[in-house]
Amino acid sequence: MGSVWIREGCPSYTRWNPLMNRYVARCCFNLSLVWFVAIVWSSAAWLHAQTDSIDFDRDVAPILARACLHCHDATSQKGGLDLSSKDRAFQGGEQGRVLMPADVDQSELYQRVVVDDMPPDEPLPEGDKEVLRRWIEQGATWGADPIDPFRYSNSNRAGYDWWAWQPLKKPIVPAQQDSNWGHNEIDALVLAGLQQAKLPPSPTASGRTLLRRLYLNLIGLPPLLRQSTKVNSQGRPYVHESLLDLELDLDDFAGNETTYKLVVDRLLDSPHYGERWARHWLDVVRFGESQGFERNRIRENAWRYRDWVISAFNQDMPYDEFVRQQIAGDVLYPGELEPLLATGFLVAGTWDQVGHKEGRPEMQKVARQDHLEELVGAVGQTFLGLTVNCARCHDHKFDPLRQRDYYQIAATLAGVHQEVDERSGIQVSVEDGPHQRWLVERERLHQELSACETALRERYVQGESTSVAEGLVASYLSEGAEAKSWNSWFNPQESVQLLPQPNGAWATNQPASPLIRSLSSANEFTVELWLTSHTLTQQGPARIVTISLDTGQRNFTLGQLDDRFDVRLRTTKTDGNGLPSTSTPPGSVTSDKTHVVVTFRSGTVHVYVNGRLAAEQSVDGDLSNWNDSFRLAIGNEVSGDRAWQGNVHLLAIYQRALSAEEVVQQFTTDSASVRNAAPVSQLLGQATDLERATYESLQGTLQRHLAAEPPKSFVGVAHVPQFREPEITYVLARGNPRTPGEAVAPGGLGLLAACGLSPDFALPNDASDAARRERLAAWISEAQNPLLARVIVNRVWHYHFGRGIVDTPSDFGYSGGRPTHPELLDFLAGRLVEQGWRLKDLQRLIVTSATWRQTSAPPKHAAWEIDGDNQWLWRANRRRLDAESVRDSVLAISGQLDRQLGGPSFRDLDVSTDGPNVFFRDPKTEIEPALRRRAIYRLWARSGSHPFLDSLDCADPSVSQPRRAETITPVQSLTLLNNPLMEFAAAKLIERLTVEHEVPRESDAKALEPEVLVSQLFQSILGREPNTEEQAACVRLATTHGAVHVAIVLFNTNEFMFIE
Amino acid sequence: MEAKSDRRDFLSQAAGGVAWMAAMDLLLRDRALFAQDQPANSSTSASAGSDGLHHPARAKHVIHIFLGGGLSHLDSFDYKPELEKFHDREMPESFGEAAPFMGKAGRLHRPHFEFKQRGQSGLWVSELFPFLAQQADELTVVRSMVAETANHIPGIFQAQTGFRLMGFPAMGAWLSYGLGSLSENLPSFVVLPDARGIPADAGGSFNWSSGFLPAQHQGVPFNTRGGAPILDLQPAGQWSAQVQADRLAVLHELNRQHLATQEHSDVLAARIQSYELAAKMQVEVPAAMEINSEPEHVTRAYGIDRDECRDMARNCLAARRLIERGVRMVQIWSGDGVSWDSHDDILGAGHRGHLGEARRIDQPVAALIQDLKLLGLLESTIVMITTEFGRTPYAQADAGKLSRGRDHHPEGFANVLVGGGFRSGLAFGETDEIGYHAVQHPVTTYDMHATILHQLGINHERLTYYHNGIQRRLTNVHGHVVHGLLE
Repeated sequence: MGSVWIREGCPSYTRWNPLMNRYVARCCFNLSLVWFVAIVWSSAAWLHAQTDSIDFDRDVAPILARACLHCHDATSQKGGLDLSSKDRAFQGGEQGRVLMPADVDQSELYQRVVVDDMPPDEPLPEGDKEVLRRWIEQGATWGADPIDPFRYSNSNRAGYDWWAWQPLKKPIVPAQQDSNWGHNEIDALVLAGLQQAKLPPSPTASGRTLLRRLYLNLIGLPPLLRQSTKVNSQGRPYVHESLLDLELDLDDFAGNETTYKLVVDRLLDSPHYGERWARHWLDVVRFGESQGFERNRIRENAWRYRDWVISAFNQDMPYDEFVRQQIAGDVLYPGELEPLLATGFLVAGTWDQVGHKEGRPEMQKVARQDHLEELVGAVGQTFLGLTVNCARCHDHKFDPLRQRDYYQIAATLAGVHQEVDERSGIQVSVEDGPHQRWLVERERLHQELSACETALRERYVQGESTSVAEGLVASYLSEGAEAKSWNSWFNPQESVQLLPQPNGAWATNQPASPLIRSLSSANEFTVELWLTSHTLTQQGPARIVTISLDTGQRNFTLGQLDDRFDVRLRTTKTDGNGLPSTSTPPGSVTSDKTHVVVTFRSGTVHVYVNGRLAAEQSVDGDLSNWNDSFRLAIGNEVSGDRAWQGNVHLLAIYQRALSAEEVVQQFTTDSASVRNAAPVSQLLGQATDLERATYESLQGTLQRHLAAEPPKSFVGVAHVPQFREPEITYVLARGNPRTPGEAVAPGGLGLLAACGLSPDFALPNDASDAARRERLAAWISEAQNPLLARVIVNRVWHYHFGRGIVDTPSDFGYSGGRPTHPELLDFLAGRLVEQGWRLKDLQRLIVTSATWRQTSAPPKHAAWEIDGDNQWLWRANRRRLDAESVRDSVLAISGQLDRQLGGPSFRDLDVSTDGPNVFFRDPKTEIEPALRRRAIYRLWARSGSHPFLDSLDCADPSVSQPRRAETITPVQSLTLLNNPLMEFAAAKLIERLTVEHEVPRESDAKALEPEVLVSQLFQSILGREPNTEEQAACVRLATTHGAVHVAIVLFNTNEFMFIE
Repeated sequence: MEAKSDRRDFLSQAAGGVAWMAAMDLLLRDRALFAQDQPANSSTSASAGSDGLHHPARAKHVIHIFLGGGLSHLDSFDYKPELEKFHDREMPESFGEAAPFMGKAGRLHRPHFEFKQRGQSGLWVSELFPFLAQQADELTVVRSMVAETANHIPGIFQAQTGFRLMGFPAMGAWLSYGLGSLSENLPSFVVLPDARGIPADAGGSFNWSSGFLPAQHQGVPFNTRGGAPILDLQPAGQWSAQVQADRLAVLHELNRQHLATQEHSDVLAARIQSYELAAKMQVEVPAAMEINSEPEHVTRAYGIDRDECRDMARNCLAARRLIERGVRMVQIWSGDGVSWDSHDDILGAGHRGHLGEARRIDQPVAALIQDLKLLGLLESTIVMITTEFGRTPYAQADAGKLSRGRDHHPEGFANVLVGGGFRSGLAFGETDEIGYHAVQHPVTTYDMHATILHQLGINHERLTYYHNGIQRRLTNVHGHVVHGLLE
């Protein structure tokens, strides 16, 4: 396994290769395997040499390149000898000729080699000596002249034959043998390695461990568990996980494939997934929200790129597209906002304002070249795992990258500039553009339709005023036990019916699509009910009325949570479950018949109970992302597992928000207008042909209009590059702008030519900026580019396992690590490309593998000694929580995490200015509401790292950070014990547990017993019950000094701080 | 491999018992030069001596006093009598082209302070530093420093980290990584900012960042503006020592139980120990910073009774106390980053005037040197007094005019080294007659770093750490030990 990168058909590895030294020293298995393969190969090459005539390029040049040219090439010429070109080689060195065709005895080269005098460090293997002998005997015919020093890898550097830039190879996935271990191809490939290494895989981790691992790994938040009322077949309690609103049987979780996969899917669908994985990406692309250097001005709008990344991950944008947009989104999609924001990548790094703008011209040129080097470095390392930036002053020391390669890439980016001020007035389409006109037209059609309906009502409905009923789109009436009626005002021809369900609830027989679309397009609505609740201790929340798919995905739900009404509303800024929710105060629900109205308009939710305002909350975002495939249900969740005990007497849904006065009117008249309202279909039956035709035509026009929403316009500021037409790029001797050499055209890297990626972009020296970046984006994202797929697959693997298959995620060259599982790497890379570059698919495969699900703490056995570093993946790696996960988890558990998505960054440090300079100091000690969002939303300014996060290895974003350290220090311990955040969260958690415990039952509303509180703290923070000793110690602490200290202690435990 | 397994076993056995503290000591004092087993990508080459160093060390500690903004060598340590002759004249073309940073090249200006030869060595030191002048026989003045940039921040970053770009580890972090700490209760690398504020104008915490080295090697900035010396040293809730002790006891109990269920748990054991160390730090850090416990004659010698230099006196005294307690490197900032940047008035007595800044530091730094000497600590401690570049011999003024200011100047300037095996009373290297270019033995920042590392027993080419494609080192691909500076 370990030696598979010794490629078939590649003559450069015909022997034991000292390149592997460093890697092999770390694992004794590799040693034996590599030796094994090396021996086989050596003899194969030797046999080859015995039977065929010698071909210089195939047989000899690799040996010279590997073993001789390091000292004897055109630049080094030790002893005056240059073996890299034909003439010089036959000319010989200071001591005369070294090659005499057909005369081995007079050929000094062979004579020195055969007695191991040369090469000085390491003798040539016998096979190679034999090749040289036969070559000379056969007349020492030369081949390609001169020998390209980059063509072959040797003990000092990588050549074009280096494993990482060879085409992807589709490995043969071993069939599952003897073992009942493993689920998928990953396991088969890992198991093959384990079997060779004679290591057994470890058992699956416990349900509790796996659940926590999944949550923290995929969304960066812990599961929030509380005991549920449900029990499993053994009578053991389920847990209620409130983040995704799931009921889980932890006893069964590890073994129940269906539930496990459901949780995986839910997590991948959660908007928090994007937040988690965007943070990883931002680490890699050195995303910072200030310039750095002396001025260090804040980039007020850099967050738009951060939001673009989050959204791209959430949408599962194909990775090749993700890459293209970051390099040339503006060129590929002219006039569109999102792809333009993607180019924020190009200007996410540091920028020296003084150097670029304030010094003398010469200095500005140096600053510009330094900046280009940073940019070339970011592009090369991020997408290709190549340190192209190292070739600015000279050819790369370790990889086959010429100085010219560097300048070709630099030329592709030469139009990218930054300025002192953020790019202002980014206008993707003008303000009164297509979207604005669309909105106006939509409003007009709504009004026209509404006027038409009013006219029909005035004409054909007798008696009651109908003003309140305007905008009524559906109603449900329950008169007594039997008579239930459902009127939908939509599409008279295709009726969405509300039918009784086996569980006693009512639900539509098909998606309530017309209803949903009407509310979504109006972007306001009212849901009005008359109801009677049967009990005040209902949990879930129990669903009174819902428009949803299941317990985790909804557009809207009104529920009952003990004696509170609870509204979940999905907008573009909430999660798919409509959280956070809006709740009325305790005591809102009584056992009397109650009038409840929920309205949404202009970003505010109002809840009225019996005509009075009971809750008001602003909810950012709009309803444009409502899913129109959901059904409507009354009295239970659509999936049937959140039953509400009570009666709904009336339900009315309007495509507008009723005013407070109208709500009072409905309450006082017992909603007479709804009861008297007739569906439009009924009215149309009485109407004239002309009236009917007018109405239906208008309705058709509106439907077509809604389906044709143009992209939204944007007028504002974003931190994206200033693109300018570039000057001609020159190779700069020693990277110095004062010593320009030859001009270079924009182009790619020669080392990928073997994969069919020509470095020639067919562009002139003075090509436009747009053409340059478009070609670069296309070249990098070619499906044949093996680096693009290998590098991203390895990054994803790294974040799932704590270490990549290659342990240097941004360097696949000679200085980087070697793959522990090269076949697996190629399998995953090939699969990614085949499946359309979808990362979620790759991640689903990884987290559902048995490999990933192993326990991190198998009992003591030989593997601990043989492979203590777990290179062969015989167990899971124990990992310390990263900085953001600590902070976000503590806030989430205490119930204080603000889960709003996106938007401007919050500032957790004092920002000061001193003249033109900005600096950051003094972390805020008040945990004010704005600071309770996820850490990814803080202002990631340079030199503005927060000491709390800092102590947990969350470094400043000045350079790319493809791997985070996991240190343990006393300063970190002081922070975790003493920081105001920990005390705040601990106090809030106690408060929450106490309130929740006291609210429902007035009869026993006494202070929470310490025993109960301690047990609930364990449940909340560690997801389990304490054992007797733990219970005793913590109760003692709670009684002596207060329970807040128990919470702080639990947040500090190893059990909390590590993911097992 | 063998050593690693042994130590792991030891740790997991020890973690529950009394020996765990000693065991953790091993872990936490881990340092690159001494470690038998290298992490995958943080290699240093094999060590020479049994103590793990590359060669015998002359010093163990560094106190770095940084004068950010650009100390004028011409008005402090590099006496140029020719400037008296050329005063109020254009710079002769023979010295090269005037290329001022701010674009204004006035006429040449004589030294703003009187120079005298001092002590037995006869070292020239100006009246800018009357107290330091009295220590002249202890000083090694490098008069031929050259920097790569006339821009403050890249220059300051380079002085601290070897690189003009941001994001690289500071020298103190490299020392912590290479040598570890001599104290288990104090950070290895402590930063004492000027009481006027952290050097925000110079990039703040970048200057003591651990860069890509693990966070434990980062400089810990002490609060020198009053209050607790370290953030979060005490609980936000001001809980009593008893409360803290009780909760630590419960934490230990929970962690111990958890540990008992785990295999190969050295990292868990290390976290347990980190809380013990944190508790010790809570005691040790304030104790180290307890300046008032010093005898009055000592505090007075540092100038603590003088308003203008009280803050620096406290920092210098604290630095000595921290070194005594095993801190590897203390960095003291003079000014808020670029306070020595006297474009307008070298004689200015306030902020950004040389005179004003010098009065804040002269007596305390001189006292520190003398104090270290008396205590026998100067032998094993290097005191560095450095700046990112010097200042122009011509005034910052319109052509043909004079002023009392000077512009940035990287082509020749002076740094001062004290103790730690440097040849004292020595003026090393030379600039030309008007102090414009270093003409004899130019010394780069890389050379300076290489030399400091050398005195601490480190070969600068062999202290490396893998990051993003390169085995990084403090001196990039440059640097030579300046043997002429050494005893």
